[in-house]
Amino acid sequence: MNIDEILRKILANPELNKRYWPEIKNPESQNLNTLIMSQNVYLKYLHIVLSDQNDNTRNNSLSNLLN
Amino acid sequence: MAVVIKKIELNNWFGYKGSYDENTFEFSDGVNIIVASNDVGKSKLHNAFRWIVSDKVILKDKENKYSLEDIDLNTVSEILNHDIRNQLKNEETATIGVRLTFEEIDRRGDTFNRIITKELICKKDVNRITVSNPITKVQRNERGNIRTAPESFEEVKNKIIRQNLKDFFLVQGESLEHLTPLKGESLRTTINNLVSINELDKKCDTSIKMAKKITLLRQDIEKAEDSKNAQASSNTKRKNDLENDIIDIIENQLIDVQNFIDESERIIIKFKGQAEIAKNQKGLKQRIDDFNKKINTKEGIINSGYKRLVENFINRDFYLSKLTNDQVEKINLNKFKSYFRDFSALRRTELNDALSVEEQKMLYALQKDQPSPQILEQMLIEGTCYVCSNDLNEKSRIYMNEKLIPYFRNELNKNDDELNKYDELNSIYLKLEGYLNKFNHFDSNYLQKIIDDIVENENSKRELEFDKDDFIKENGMVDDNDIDNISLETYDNAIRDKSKFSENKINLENKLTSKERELTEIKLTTINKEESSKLKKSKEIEQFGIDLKNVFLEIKKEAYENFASDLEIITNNKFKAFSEDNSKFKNQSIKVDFSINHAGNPDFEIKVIDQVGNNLKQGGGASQALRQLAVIFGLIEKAGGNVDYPFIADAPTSNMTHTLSEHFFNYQLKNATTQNILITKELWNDQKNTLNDIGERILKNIEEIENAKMISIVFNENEKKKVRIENLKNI
Repeated sequence: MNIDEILRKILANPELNKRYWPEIKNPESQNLNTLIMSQNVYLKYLHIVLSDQNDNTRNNSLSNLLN
Repeated sequence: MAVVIKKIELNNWFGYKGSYDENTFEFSDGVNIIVASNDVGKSKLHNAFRWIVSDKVILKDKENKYSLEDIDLNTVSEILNHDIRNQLKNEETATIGVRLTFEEIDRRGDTFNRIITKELICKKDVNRITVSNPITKVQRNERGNIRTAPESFEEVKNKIIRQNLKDFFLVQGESLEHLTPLKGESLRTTINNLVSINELDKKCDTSIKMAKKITLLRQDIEKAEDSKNAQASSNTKRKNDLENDIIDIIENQLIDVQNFIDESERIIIKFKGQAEIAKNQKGLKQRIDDFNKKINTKEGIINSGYKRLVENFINRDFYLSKLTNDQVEKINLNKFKSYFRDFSALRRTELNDALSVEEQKMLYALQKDQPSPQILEQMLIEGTCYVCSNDLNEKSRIYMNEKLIPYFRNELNKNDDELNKYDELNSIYLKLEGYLNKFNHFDSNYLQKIIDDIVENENSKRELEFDKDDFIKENGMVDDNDIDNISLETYDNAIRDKSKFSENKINLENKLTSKERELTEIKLTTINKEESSKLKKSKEIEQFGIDLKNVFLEIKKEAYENFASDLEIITNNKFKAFSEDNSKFKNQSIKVDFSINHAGNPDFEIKVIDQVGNNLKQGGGASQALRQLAVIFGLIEKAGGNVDYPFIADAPTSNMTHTLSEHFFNYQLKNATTQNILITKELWNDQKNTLNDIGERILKNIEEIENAKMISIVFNENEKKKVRIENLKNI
């Protein structure tokens, strides 16, 4: 399972979809790059989880997300 | 990138005496089968690959068990060619070496030839052989132009077979069971490395880490905002402490406890068989001990019976001594009786004055026989004396009628006091005799009872001994030394530990639930607090982090379940393909068990089961060998393009029948997806030193396949201790 497949599986989860990203109607057309453009804070969080970052960069990204 | 081993060259490596160019095996990129009889050098060839790839060799110890060894002071004498070793003089050196040439095809289809060499310098030092550290070399061969390559040896050897997959691509048939893992951490690592679940695992871990991180960040924000309000601050501190307590302490304790439970479970599984045998043995021993105990008890009772008998004989107060005395009294009484009778008869005679001396004599004679009055009356009627047979005269008839008959009817002396007293004495005597008999009888009964007890106990002891002998005959004799108490104790301890830790686990889970409840209550009391937008946002993201983590865990579980189910189908297909037409395996199949342990890690176990699901682990033999091969090729197939390493196997069919063996080689010839180097003796006739019937048939098939090859290793006729490598079919 590659990153995009994992992403699509997460996006398609009905409970997460309903609560955190109701605006996404077609999860199967999404990929990691489209997440970067999103203004949705949860999708930004998801991008940090899925993108290839080391622990420090990831922690910084997370702090930035809260500010 | 596919890798193809072009050739391997050996220098003074075990039986391969001489330099590299004297001991060269060249391979095709398809299936290569190397055939030889025992002890010519098959395993040594396999060890050459293993040494290059893993730094280890497989050696057999004194008990014929295989173990992975380094080449060091202890083992070098075995590995350096023995002729060379024996010829070495003090301080002289010799080289052990393996050189491997392989072709690497990159994604663009370009090929590189690499040559890697690994050597050891051995030196004779008085009575021993010392050995240097390995000297390694990496070269590139570009269109015949050989030059040193920039890559390190470690980097390049990893290209041949990746280190963490070597147990699946470099296998030794006879030790498959020990060296190729089919459960536990090693199998999990292999699976993770073989398939792309690895990516999901990593991201799942990241989501767990991030959920924890966001909680810490939210706590920091909360702490900073609450510093103005003491009560709120104390609540927040309590809440944060609780969270940390739950997350970092109890959960970690739960993981530890689960690990202890898993470890106990592992020990329970490992020792179950031995412990059951020991328990059974102990049970048998207990039964034998019970028999012995009962027999001893009976013996005690018998001995005490004998003791009582002896005591009775020697103790004068006892009935037995009385019995002896009574016997004497009885004899005396009998004498008295006889005397009394004589006296009574005489007295009766004296009483009758009318009797003459002759009559008295006659009466005396009659008295002795105690004629009854009825007989005398009969004599009178017949007129004949029954004593002398003469006719009775008139005088005699009168005498008998008037004297004798009344006399014997006791009618004459009715008023004789003396005689009456005699009669009384007679009756006292009879009573005395009765008492004496009674006591005798009582004494005899008492002794008889003791004797009966002894006999009964002797019989019952004998029956117990027969039962014990039958029991031992049926179940075998068990000695204390026969019982594997260590396994039994380890098993029992593990059962106790498991139950103890399971109890701890329940306590911890209860504690966790109670802390979580407490936390919810605190959260409810602090919910009305004025919160900054930053704190609100952090809480929302925190909740999302937790939800996301849980979804990741679900996806991961599902992916592993799918993987296990796919692997089960593929390995079963392989298992069936390898064992085709063999009825023995008809009802057997491979089961891939999967679960997620408490630490969140997947656990796999691959086993062979029968049609009702029983694990056939104890069976060993062919089904296990087939299982290993089916799993290896199943995993390779499942991994698809991710792994295209050469498959190098020594004695892959060592535990199989000839039919299965032939089937396996033919199957590989048709279906192998990567290069195969299969080393075997199953196709060789040791006596004739040539291919056997199966070998001939396989060779015929090889001749029809373009990139398949068969190579034999035989001893050189000219130099007995040197081997010759021959291509049986050139491609």
